[in-house]
Amino acid sequence: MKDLKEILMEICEDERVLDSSIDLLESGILDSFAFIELFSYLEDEGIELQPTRIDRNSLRSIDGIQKLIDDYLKK
Amino acid sequence: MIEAMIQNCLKQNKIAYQTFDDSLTFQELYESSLSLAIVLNQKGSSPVLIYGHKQKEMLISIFACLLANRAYVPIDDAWPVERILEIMNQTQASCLIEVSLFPYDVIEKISPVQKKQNIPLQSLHNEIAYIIFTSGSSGKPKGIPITYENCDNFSQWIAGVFPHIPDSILSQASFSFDLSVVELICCLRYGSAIIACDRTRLHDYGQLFQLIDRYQPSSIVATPTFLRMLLLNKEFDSHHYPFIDQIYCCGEMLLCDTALKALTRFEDLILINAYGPSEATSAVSAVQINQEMCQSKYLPVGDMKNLACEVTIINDEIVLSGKSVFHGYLSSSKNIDQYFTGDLGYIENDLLYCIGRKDSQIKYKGYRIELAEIEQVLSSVPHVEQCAVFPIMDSNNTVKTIKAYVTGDISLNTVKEELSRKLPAYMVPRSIKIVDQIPENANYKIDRRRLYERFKRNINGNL
Repeated sequence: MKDLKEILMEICEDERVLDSSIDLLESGILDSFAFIELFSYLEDEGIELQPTRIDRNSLRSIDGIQKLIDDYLKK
Repeated sequence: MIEAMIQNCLKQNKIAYQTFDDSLTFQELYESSLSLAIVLNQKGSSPVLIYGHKQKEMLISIFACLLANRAYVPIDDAWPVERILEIMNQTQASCLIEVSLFPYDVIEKISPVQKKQNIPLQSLHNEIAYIIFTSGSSGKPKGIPITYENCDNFSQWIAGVFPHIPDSILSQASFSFDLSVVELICCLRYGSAIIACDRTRLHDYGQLFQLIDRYQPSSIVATPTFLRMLLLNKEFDSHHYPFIDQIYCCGEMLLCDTALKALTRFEDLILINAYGPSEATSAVSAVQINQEMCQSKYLPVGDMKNLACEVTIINDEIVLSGKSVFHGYLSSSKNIDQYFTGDLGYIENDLLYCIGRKDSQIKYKGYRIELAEIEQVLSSVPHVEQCAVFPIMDSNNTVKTIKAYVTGDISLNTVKEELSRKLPAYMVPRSIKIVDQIPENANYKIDRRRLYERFKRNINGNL
């Protein structure tokens, strides 16, 4: 799988993704569209996250999302 | 139509409107609306702005305006004040029902909660039921007045679109977006309960499903984007959600893979794909989608045997006429008999298809946006010399975001602030670039394609 930063850049088309101080949710970068694209992409890569069971705070940063992926892969 | 709505409210012994922690019965709805209607009735006959979001008082205020025979103008409380002032000016509205707090003293404000009074309602001469505002290519929002006759025609048609009238409807759209007219009519005229999803829940997946789990809507009225979002939940299927039996989609193109996913997850689902511009009262055509249809490139948007008005194709464009069609824009004296939608379409085997636009209007998250309006507002920002606004498409040819290029001696923050002051959030381009020069082709028109390619190169260069 590609680097998560790269995936998010492609999905969000927004360089602010690379700025680790920005809250992806509050800034509107990870909006409903990007949310759909991200989860669909991960699903295609075999990472089947269940969005109803995700703590919303995990989606605020790339590190948080990376941790969700890592936790899934560890299982 | 209004009499049928009153009779419906009086006979229903159930909830009319449910938010996560508040509700309203049909009886309470009628009583509260009547009290408010009596107050409105004494305050002239001009249109009434209703300022709020998805609170139960929105339904009370809308019904009150219908009872008082005052055209209502739904204004979402997330809209910037400049846009509201423009709408006030265009509609000549004399008062605003303050469902959400409106912190400006520019218009008479009326509380949606009024004491009961025993004064009969006077009938006023007014043909307009509501005015919905949409993006206008001139740079200003465009008002679309819809008459009682338009609404009545729509309400008779919509009852036949659903194989059975929904017991309750999960409502996702803001009232300023006329997709919501479907659930309004189903509720007020036919007794469906509205289960309202506000924007906080819309943006918080866990809370959204808490609402669905708790109130168990039998139907969903949604944009295809919202349906895609629901389907991200792997458990969103007939096993976990057996109470959902009808889903009505409208507002943008429903993609085959979204439809197929929904039909596979919910075995006996009635999935309705509808089509229509705001100018023709929310929707004019609809068709039930089956799995076989999902094998083609496009899904049909209507069954030609069951239309709300006359639909013809002239030079590949969908053209509407008849009882659902409005009579002309608010700010224009031009009377419209035939409405040329700008939508490209065709008819095959008695099914209507809509496959795109003739112009630079786009659909983004179900909202209809004129790119030219964003460009007009951008050009009006001091020190902006030139600008170009264009959509970025995903692999399904759906707009996934809006981008802008700007030249001039100005900071990015100023541009963003100015746009946010004048446009609703969904119209503000997410990425704005200040550049030295916007490429122009020989006709001095902005070459959107070159811009887009350059943009892609820049993105790649940054990685």
